[in-house]
Parts: sequence; structure tokens; C-alpha cells
Amino acid sequence: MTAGTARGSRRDNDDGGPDELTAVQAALAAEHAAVYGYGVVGGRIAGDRRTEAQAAYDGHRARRDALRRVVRDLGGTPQAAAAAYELPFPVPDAAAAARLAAELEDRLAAVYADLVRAGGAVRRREAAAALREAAVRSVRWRGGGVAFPGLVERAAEAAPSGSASAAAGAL
Amino acid sequence: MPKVAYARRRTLLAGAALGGAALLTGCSEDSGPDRAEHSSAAERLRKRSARDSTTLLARYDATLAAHPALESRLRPLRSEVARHAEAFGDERAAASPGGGASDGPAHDAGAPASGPSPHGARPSGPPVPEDERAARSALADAERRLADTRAKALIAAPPELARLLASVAAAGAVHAYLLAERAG
Repeated sequence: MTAGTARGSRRDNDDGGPDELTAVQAALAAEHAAVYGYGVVGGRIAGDRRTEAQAAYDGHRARRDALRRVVRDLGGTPQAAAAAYELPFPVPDAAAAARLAAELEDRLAAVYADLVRAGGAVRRREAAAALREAAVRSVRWRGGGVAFPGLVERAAEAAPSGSASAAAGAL
Repeated sequence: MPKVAYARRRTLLAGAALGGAALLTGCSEDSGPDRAEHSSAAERLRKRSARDSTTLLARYDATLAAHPALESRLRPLRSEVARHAEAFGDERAAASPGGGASDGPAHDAGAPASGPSPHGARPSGPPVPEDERAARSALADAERRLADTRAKALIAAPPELARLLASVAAAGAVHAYLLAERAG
């Protein structure tokens, strides 16, 4: 994570600043984690929610593959997935699984928000769309949203607008 | 020994720390990028974005006035919209017009009780549908349209403002979802 000294010079090209690759890699890492996490989620829930988890799983796999291509386009080597991930909290049942899914989406919202900041025009558009998608998915799992999805610095300022609060294991 | 195992696995939400770091660098740099954030084009966009939120706020108020039963459902969303308006306001613009303040309660939606008032309540803005569901979906449409507008505007914005716009657009999409999809 460089200090980004050369930022802002070519903002309206497709090229972002030097931070772009870092931000894309962070998004890729988060998508890897989401794919893994939704695998866990899918095993703990049933019915409609399971269908929803499957759709999310497929969506995140697609985004992961797209991000791999972007990393290569930017001259980088795509981050590999970890062999295993530590869950932020135990996920024994459907309720915890929904909470995990919401956490995964919140995490994605944050990395995509950062990618909006670091990316050039094309990346920005995609990152903004991904942020939007993550925010809506998070709310579907959690039941309530936050005022500024993806903006971790504003997350502490107020309670979520919906029901559940920040009870999830923060790690 | 548990430590070893821990070190080898990656935490599922590991990136959280990274996001924080990115954030810090983003905030600590001044001069160059900061100038871009406050170019006159950026200021115009910021002002317009604040105004858009304020207009949306007025729609919430008009809807609340016409449909007091929606109070519990709309109130949390309305207060988020108020925070959006504030977030776009800089030091001078922060004293944004009307109900810009974030504390929702200081406002009159409880009072005008009976009967939908299509042309009452607030200045300007389209009339609120008499049917409650239609009123909700009109509000959802307004949220979605504004989210789309912001998604376009952020492409040419300076980095930090673009990030804020993207977040607020996402919040708008969430509002649209909550307004439209969920039954009472």
C-alpha cells in the first residue's frame, strides 16, 4: 500500500493510479474468501435462503474470475485462494450462517469502495456496481442496512438502520 | 501450537485490516489529491449531491405526511438520507436547507394526520400517491433513479468523492430494495 504520490494525474483514463492493482488484489482476496464462506453458508441453510446462497456463491465466483483477469491485465499475478480460512465466529446453524454471509458482503462492500477510489474509469464503474450488489445482499441477509455501505470509517458513527446491530464477531 | 495453526490459515475477513490501511493513506495525504477533491467541478458535484439528498428528504417527508402508518418503516431510511446530505456538505454547505439535520425527530410528520394530501405538505416535488403501496414504490423509484445518477457521476469525480458517491448510491439501492421488496 503505497502512499500514492502519483495519484490523481490520469484519473479519467482507464488507468488508475499505482494503488489500483493493490485494490484489485484486495477485492480478489475478498472474493476468494466469499466463495469459501458461501460454501460454509450453503451447508447450514435450507430452502429459499439456500437458493439465495447458491446465487451469491455463483455471483462471487464470476467476480473472482473477472478480477483474476483484471489483475493479469494490470501486469500482476492473481492472488491465490488460501487452502482454508478461519471463520470470524462459529457457524453452527442457519442464523449464524446468515450473519456470516452478511459479514462477507460487508467486507466486499469495503474493498469495492476502496477500489472505486483507486481505480480508473472502467474499474470504478464495475467496483461501484459490485459495491451496490454487496450492500443489497448484506441487507437481505441481515434485514437492515447502514448509512454508508463500505465506508468503514463511518461505520462506527451510528447504529445500523435496521434490526440487527453490530453483534457479529469483529475479529 | 494453536498459534501455528492460526498463522497458517488465513482469516476469512483478513482484508479488513488492509482496508483500514488504505483508508489511512487516503486520509493522510494532502496537497495534490486534496486539491483535486476540492476543484470547482468537485465542489459543484458535491453541492449537487447534497441538494439531491435534500430533495429526496423532502419526498420522504411528504410521503410520511400523507401516510403516517409508514412511519416506522420510513424513519430509519429518512435519517440515513439526512446523513447523506450532511456528508456531501462541506463546512459552508453543512448548514443545508430544510431538514438537513441528521436528527430526524425534529420534524412534523406525526402531526398532519388524516387523509393523503397530494399537493400539501412540502413545496415542489411530485404528489404522493394515495395508495400506500404506490407511495412506497414511488419513493423506491426515486431512490433508485438517484442511485443511478450517482453511479454515473462518480466516474469523473475525484477519488474520495467517488468513493463516497459509490457508497451513498449503494445505500440508495438498499433503500429501494427495502421499500419495494419487503411487505409491511
